[in-house]
Amino acid sequence: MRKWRHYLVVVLFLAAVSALLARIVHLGTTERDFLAEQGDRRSVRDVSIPVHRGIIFDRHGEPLAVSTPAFYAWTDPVTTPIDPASVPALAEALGLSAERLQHTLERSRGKRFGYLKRHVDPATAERVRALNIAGVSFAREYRRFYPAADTTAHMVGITNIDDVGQEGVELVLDDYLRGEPGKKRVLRDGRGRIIRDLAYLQPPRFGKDVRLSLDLRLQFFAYRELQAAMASHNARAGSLVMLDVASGEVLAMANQPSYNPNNPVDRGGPSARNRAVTDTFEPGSTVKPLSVLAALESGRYAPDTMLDTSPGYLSIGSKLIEDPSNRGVLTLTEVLAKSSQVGMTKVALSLPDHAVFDALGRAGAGSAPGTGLPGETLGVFTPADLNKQVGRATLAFGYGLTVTPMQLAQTYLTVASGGVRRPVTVFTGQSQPADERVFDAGHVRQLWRMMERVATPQGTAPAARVAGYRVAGKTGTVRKVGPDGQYDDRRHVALFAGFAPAADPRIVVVVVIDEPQGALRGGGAVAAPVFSRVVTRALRVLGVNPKTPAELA
Amino acid sequence: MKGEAMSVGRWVAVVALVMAVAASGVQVAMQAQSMRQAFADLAAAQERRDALLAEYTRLLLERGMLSSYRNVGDTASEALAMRFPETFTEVRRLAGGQP
Repeated sequence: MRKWRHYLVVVLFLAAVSALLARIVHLGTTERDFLAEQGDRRSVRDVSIPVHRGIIFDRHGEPLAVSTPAFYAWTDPVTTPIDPASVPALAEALGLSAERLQHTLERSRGKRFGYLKRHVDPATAERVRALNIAGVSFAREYRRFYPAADTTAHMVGITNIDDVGQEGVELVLDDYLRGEPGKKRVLRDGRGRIIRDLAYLQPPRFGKDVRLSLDLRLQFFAYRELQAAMASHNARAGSLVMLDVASGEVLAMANQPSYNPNNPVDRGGPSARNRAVTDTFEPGSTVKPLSVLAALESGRYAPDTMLDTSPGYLSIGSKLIEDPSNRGVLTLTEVLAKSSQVGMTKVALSLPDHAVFDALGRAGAGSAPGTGLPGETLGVFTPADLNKQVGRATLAFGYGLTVTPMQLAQTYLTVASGGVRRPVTVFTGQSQPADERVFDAGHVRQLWRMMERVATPQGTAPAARVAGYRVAGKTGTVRKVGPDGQYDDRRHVALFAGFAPAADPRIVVVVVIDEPQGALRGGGAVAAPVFSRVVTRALRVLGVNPKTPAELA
Repeated sequence: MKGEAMSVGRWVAVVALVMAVAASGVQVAMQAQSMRQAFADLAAAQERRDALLAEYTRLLLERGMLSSYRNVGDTASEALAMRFPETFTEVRRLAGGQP
């Protein structure tokens, strides 16, 4: 036996062992941190803990926007690609077509993250998990539902697919509703499932619930009646605002056209606009009560002051102001009830230059109603034309200024509250700034009695009457300005603004119908019936006692 | 004499330190275990909260749907043949003052 062979084997063996030892020492010392980090990068992750978005309720606790737990399905095609053989089964379980899923997978190829499907309900997620397909992971998210759908769409608004507010209250109170996601460090297995929580880095802060001033019952009546009026008059658009007189809270705010916020395809476009706060128009005759109030304040007029409106027209400079017919001698009350342009012009021109402008400004024209809703506009309201007679005259019957439906509602709120200016709010139970008295209570009460005459057979809006209650208001039929800058005789805005009950106002309602196309186009024929039907329902819902026919007489 | 006392004192200190090290070791293990337990409890509680939230929001949506005025109005007018009193001639006040 040759000894050298024995030694050779021993030396080779020792050399191999020392090489391995050296490698171990090398990896365990100099490369240690790098390797540990690489390992962790494959299995340790910081994940965010999604939080539940706050619920939006109406004033009585009816849900208007609710987030419900859901999942999103995702995949990491780099570490764990999905087996092509399992695609059809996966597609079926997720409720997608196999081609669609295949397309999604191809798009996410080479990335570390790809959505397979968003907003998967928990039952479906459970079914897919049971298939046990490698590479498919689920993570928590929330899906937003709007139970009242199109009825409250503009006020409540919408969120996008990532639950971030885009419109309405969802946008205004986004931070408050959204909360703050938490963060934790977790250990994952090869299939992306969380096997162990390692550290809790930041606790989640849930979104807070919001209670709106909206009354869903009143909102529903308002929306339905507006919808019906739009259909029967073939109108282009419409808005209705209802305010609570005592608090300035918005009880209903409806717009047409509307959209279904639960249907992503439906979103955007002109129907998404909250016309009640974004769209302005000339208020026309609906400002006449404020002009009359300015006249009463001057001390030169009383409700029974006689005014001669014959021959039914009047020219100021080059402008001809006319009534539909020669109405002869009218009292100031009749001038308002019959909406006489000639009578109103005579009153306005006899007052100091700034009287009507000042009264309108105190009531709320030209200032923000303060709802804070997105896109709230102010309209045009300047004293630029007050040095001209024609400027003062047209202002007194509502041309030369523009308002939104919400602003018009606010000016009527000032009247209905007995001359007290109150900010308008879409929330309930919040402390409001102190009221500010802007008109004498005695003058305002005189005005109430005069405005009641509008909703009688002698006035312009007998259709505004409400069985069992006394109501006060004013019609308006405004010609729109055409593209050429001239007033268009075929395009109108039909308006009715009023409050009820007339002797002790509880609600203010403003109805705006844009471009009614039928035979009837006036505010008294188009908007007043909507007012009547909405107020009839609203007063009963609010528990306001009706009067007996004897009491009403 | 002095050296002897020192060595006794040193012994006591060493024993005390060894015991302290052992106790702290046990504590570490116990803390780790209780933290794992707390994490597990938290995960379970979160799961339960999510399940309850899902149930609550589902019920809320269901209630909203069933009690919607469209639904109530249709049921009243179609299934129950009720109609809204558009006109009335008399208001009776019952005892208590409510009409």
